[in-house]
Amino acid sequence: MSAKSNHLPEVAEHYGRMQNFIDGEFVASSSPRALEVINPATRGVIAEVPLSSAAEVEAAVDAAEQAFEEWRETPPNLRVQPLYRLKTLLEENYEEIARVLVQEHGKVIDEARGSVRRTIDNVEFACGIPTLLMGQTLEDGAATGIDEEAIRQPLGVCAAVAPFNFPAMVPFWFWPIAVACGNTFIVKPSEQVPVTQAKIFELVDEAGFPDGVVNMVHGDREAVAALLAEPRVRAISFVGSTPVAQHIYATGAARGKRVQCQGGAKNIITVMPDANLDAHVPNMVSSFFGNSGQRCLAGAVLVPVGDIGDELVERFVAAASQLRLGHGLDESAQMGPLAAERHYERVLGFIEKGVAEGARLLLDGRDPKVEGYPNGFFIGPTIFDNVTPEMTIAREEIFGPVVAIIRAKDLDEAITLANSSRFGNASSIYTGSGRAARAYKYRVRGGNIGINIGVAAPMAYFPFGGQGDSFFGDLHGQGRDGIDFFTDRKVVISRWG
Amino acid sequence: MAIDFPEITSFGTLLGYALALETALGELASQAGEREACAPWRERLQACARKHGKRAQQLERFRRERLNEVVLQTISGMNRADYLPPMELPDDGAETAMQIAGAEDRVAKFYRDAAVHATHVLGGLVRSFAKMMKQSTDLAAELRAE
Repeated sequence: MSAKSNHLPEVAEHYGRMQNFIDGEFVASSSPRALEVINPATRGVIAEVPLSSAAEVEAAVDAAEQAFEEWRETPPNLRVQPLYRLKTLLEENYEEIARVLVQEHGKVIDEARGSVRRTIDNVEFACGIPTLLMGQTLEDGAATGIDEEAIRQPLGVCAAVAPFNFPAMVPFWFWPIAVACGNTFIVKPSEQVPVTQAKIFELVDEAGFPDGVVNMVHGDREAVAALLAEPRVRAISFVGSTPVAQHIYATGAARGKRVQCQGGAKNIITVMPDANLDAHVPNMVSSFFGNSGQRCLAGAVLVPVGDIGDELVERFVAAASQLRLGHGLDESAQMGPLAAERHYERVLGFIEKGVAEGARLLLDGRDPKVEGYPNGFFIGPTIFDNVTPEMTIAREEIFGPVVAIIRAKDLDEAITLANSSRFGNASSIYTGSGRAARAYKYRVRGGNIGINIGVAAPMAYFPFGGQGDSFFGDLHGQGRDGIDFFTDRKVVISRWG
Repeated sequence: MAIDFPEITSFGTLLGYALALETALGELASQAGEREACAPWRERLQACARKHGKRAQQLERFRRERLNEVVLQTISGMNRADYLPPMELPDDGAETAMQIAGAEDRVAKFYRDAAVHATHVLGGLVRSFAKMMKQSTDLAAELRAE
């Protein structure tokens, strides 16, 4: 029996060249353009991903369009059968998917497992479609003897463009609901982290969806542009940065598509003087540094209110400095590397800017020593105090393990600060006061509010989206919003006899 | 026995450690139960092995189904070395039974300590941990009483 820390084995050293999944078949892309997929802990190459051409996107749209009529005519209780099979297959392959995810993204294994769980949650939600999709009927609704009903109908071909931070989960916010509603679908995984979704699509293939119902095309902006330009694509879901979200929303909407785009975030975490620090500091640390800060629900600005400031900062810095960096497959690692070199350089640039603009660097995560992984894209927890709202690190989305501390004199000032951000994705308050908590959830602009919870992540049956520059569109991802997004409603008024 | 016990640094590793403990204790009790020298304790040891097997399945489900990003957080204060089972068993039957009883005591301590963290992180597990603590305490007492 060994008492050493547990480094889990990799599923494979190299996953080869990724293939598209079109019309029920894995097909090699003919594109000459390709990228290497890098393990961010080691900088080792673990796969190659083709950057598919517009013609390959068109082939996927052809397949999805041809599959649509027969699929929409398939009764809802039968449409969910492949989803039930997929749920079983995902459970059977849960650990393998989580480990592949770690290898290409860098997050620690528990974070990967948690995100695979939420992937499965979304399949489970979609399995409820026969009930969820029911319409409304009102006997004599229009007049005596004239009944009125509202029914839901699928849109046609839909697509999702996924980000790099949650390679398994994010596409599943969209496509299981869309497909269960009778649409057909094209997933474009992030070109930085395509392997997890490719592994999952092996299970999609095994689950037995009719050919063309679910498709996957690897690629970059050329593939996205092709999806936007293609008139047969009726709806697009996107998650990523705000500038790209704005572009996709504006372009897609101008072309008559239904579009939902989730953008960036700069989430404020407010800590009231009556907060229970013993209980909640570890939760705050996870909010700021979990997933190495690369999530749209991560804390970014810590706002101690009143006289709790010094004690909170001391305890927060002490806890953050204890975090153990490492390869995500080492079960004892608490924080992995950043997902990609370009992003790593960008986060380092923000730290430099924070120093240059005069913030006080309490904890410097640059150049951490991570035993065994000298080449990884690691940045340790980094904390700035004496930050002012005008500083770059207080305003811009960093998407890394960098915290800006801005002290507030009272709750009003903290709420004003939270609402001064152009983003509005999430915000949390730690307090023992129901009054303060109620004021916070009532007044703070944001799609997701946490009360004594640092990562207010909506489960599959709740809508997920932000406000302000964090979301473009009206209907959010997941839950009943997803059903509304992926269906049209039609009212029928009928009289017989 | 190739079972790794991770450092307990997060709620996920706490559950991972619990799984390792259950697997290790189950294997130890099963091995001991097959020995002639342990014949007087055989029934108890076999029951012990079955109990740990069932608990391991339960913990695997907890880890799969209950950990998500809302409750993932770091924990501190639980030392990996405090709860480890014996690496191997002695030849003597009575000594073996006492070693396993001692290991059950440490398992009970593990769940008592784990319940404190569960109170803050994942309240739904507190009752399960308390039950496992009591079961291990009872198993230890039964082995000593035989």
